Amino acid sequence: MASYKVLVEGSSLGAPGSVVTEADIIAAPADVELLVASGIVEPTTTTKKDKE
Amino acid sequence: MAVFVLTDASVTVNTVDLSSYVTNVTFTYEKDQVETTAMGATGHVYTGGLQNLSVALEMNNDLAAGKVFDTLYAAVGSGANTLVVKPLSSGSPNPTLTVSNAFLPSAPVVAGAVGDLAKVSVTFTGGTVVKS
Repeated sequence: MASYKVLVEGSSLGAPGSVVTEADIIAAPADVELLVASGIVEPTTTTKKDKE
Repeated sequence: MAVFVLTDASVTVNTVDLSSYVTNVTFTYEKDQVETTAMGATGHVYTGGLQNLSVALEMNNDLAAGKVFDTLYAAVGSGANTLVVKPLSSGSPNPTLTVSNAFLPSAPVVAGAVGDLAKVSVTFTGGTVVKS
């Protein structure tokens, strides 16, 4: 599931730097796209581990 | 609880607590008036229909990331806004009004005359409220 980092102070999602899931945002309740557009959260980048 | 003076209402828009910027809040809970009058009635008879909500906010503007300007700018044109309004920031009783899918048609994000405090007044409409 996608995860997002909280960017602003005063969000009910958590302190700046907190990482939340899409489910957390929906449960807040809030709209993921809207929060990204308003700079409240940003998607966290994930790196896939290469198969050995 | 006795009557009280509104000094510490809590307003959250899209998870961001903007209470410290709010100078005026008006939450209007309304349902459409649907007529059910039928033959034999001696006067109009109505029932409540769809919720018809309106949340009007006046706020001091703040250009900081994720605060008033950013939050309202992104909220315009969206019907997915979430608002949480409480008469008090804490304490009991303190009904929490959570509005989902509110629409914001416009926001005067820059407004005022020279020398004025930068303020913004918006009205969210529609959506559905749940009281808890």
